[in-house]
Amino acid sequence: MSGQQINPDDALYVDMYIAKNSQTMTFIRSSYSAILGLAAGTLGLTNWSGFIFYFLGSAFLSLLIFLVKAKGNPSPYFRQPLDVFTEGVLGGMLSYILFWTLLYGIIHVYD
Amino acid sequence: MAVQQAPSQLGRIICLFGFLLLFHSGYSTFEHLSYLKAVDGHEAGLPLDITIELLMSVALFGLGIVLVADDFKEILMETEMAKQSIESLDARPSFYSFNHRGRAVFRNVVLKD
Repeated sequence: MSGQQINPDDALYVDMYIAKNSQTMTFIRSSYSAILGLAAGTLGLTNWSGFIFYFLGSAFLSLLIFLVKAKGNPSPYFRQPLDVFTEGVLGGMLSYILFWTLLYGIIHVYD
Repeated sequence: MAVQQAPSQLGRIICLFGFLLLFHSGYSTFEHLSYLKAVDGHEAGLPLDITIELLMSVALFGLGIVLVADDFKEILMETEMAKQSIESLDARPSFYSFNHRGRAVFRNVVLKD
């Protein structure tokens, strides 16, 4: 092989399953962010308390994924086992803010 | 992409209950605020029962969504290869051969219509 670098990880993992797992994580995180946003808007949270609520909710969800989906052992499913706690948390925040402001507006502002 | 598995029915039912609780607590909040406005009261936090109902629906939704989502796949090539048979490995495209002796051997064979 001239000039081509071979990544040893290519033979170690199945790329399709890595993509599939991260797709599943994105599905769980984004749906749950929408739900958390609905709850935060109904509670009438403002400012930092809303973001603290989001991170508490995500921590709860991570725990659920860790216990129910990964059955307490995430290492066969992710390249880094800690990915089960961090993957998609910041991406879900956008849909969280969307639904948070929507429900806050519907219930607390325009009544 | 890998084949989608059917979502679990239990997870769907849990999500439905979560949605009903969420909807009801949202409506209760709206009603409470309207009442406060009618009696000129000050908004001093939601009543405890609505808050508890909301948090319960959020918890139910978490469980429901986690159950509905597809299971994780094991990403190690080693475990994937252990599931495959030797025939599937032999049938890969680099083993196909198009220049074989069949052309000479079967030259005089007439195929029936």
